[in-house]
Amino acid sequence: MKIYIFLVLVLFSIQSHAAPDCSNNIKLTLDMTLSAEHLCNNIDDIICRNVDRTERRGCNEKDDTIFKSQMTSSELYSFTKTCFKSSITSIEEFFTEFIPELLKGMWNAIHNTSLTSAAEKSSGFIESIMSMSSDAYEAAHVDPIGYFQKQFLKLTEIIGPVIANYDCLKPELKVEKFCGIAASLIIPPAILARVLVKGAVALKELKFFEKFSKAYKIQKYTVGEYGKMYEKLKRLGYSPAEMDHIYETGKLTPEFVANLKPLNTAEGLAQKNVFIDPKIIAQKTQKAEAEAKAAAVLAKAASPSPVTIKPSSNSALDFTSNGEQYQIIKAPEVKVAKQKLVSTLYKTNYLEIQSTDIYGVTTRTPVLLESKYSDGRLVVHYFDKAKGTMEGKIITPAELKTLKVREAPELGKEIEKLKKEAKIHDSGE
Amino acid sequence: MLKRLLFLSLISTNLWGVEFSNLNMKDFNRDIISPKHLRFTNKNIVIHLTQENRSKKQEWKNETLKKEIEVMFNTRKKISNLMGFKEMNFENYNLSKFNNRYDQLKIWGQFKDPSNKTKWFLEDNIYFLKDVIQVKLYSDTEKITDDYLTQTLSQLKLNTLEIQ
Repeated sequence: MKIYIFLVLVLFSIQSHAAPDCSNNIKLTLDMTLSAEHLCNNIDDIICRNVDRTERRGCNEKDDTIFKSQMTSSELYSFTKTCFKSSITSIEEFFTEFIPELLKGMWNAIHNTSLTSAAEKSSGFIESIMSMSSDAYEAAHVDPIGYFQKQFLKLTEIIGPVIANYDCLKPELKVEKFCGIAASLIIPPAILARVLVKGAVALKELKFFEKFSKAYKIQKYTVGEYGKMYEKLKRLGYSPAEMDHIYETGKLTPEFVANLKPLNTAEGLAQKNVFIDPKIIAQKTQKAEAEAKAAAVLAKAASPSPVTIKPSSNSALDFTSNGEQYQIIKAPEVKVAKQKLVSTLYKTNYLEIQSTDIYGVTTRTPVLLESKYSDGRLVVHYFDKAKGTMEGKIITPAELKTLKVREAPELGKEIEKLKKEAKIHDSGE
Repeated sequence: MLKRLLFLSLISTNLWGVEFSNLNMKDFNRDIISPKHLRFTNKNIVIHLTQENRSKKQEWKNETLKKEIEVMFNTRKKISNLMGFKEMNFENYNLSKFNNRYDQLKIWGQFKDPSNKTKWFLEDNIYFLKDVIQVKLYSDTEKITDDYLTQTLSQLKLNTLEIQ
């Protein structure tokens, strides 16, 4: 109750000396040269659109936020952990309200049911919420630091984008909301639950790119060079597990690959038998199959009705990438697929996607470039006017080239750099 | 008038028995996590006692019990995994009557908590008309027997509970 009174008082006090906020609706036109203020206004209208204007921070308060653009993920983690820890030691609501609500949300996300229908339709719904709330209490009670270090490191990684989204709040509100009882108000459990369930799937997808990224750092080959080596091994007849083994044993160099013969020749087979133990490969294959099966089961359960980008469409917003389908996380506040979102949020590049519909009407959609995979794919978020929600999508390097970039001198260099990187990655694919 | 009120209040006390938050157990420490969530501890056992409203449509039936338990287990396993608990397992379950009247679903199982310690549990869900009471017992060392649960329920005197 105290917190609500506090919030009301804070709101009243803000009314009298509020900083100018970013809520004016400046319409951008093609002939307009973007100033920093225009950019801020427009981007904030996209990022912060869900934050009430009385609570939204002003453009001039952008540098006065908790989460700075240059903040590392460990700094973010440590901050969030402290907040959660303060919640756990000081409030019973965390266990009696937040955790049960979070568990209910996860149950519903898995069953794809609404909160009201779940209790009646699913067997064991209420018993399970009670049971798992007790489990969580026990784990946190017995070893609070251990539980939060292990568990909330994972949560923080996943909810990072959600937290970043709330960086739109006025600093006064933010401090209060993040570190108090209002932890549950700021990240509604139902939303967090969707992030957790769907985020777990998204993280699995990211593993492949992390591996590439790791290889890039250790071996000092570019992603393109790795791409070429893997492509050559594939042409020679090596299986994914065998290629993995070559990489893990440190043999994957351009020279090594260049000397290999195809596996359909006696010479090639003899080469392979020298450095690959069939038993290890059999184990690896078995493990990979089991993991893929488990991931498929989880993905199926967690994403009962994934929204996919359909190939061949009339809109530039739909795209084809070698028949590959990408899932869109639809929740407005939730931006899951990310690697360095927090550190790039305020270095956000402003782009727009130009699309022409079947009637020849061209529309331009402003997008926010939010993160970049090591293979050059980009995650963008945009405001879908028709749906009235924030949407997310992944853009391939090839597609990036088709983006029409609005005149923005301060961002031109960055965009050119991205395009060049995309070209490099293309050559390696 | 005052006498009448006193009389009525005495009658209502006798009819409704004790409040949930007043339940207690001998030789156990008690924490009141909330008015509907109590925690009892002694050297070997931790007991969580919780109360929630239930929907009338939530009923277990012997014919579909196996399948429904399986669905519940699979969902719990996924959620528990995301919450940091591993190797969740239901070893046994049983649907019976409490006080020959109310449905009672017991589940025996185990899991590894986030610190990788194995926990055995016995969960007992008792379905009153409008409420469900859950008694969940945890042990770090061994499986919890049905006899121990019976003793616990007897100590808790659930039948005197102010409940519907």
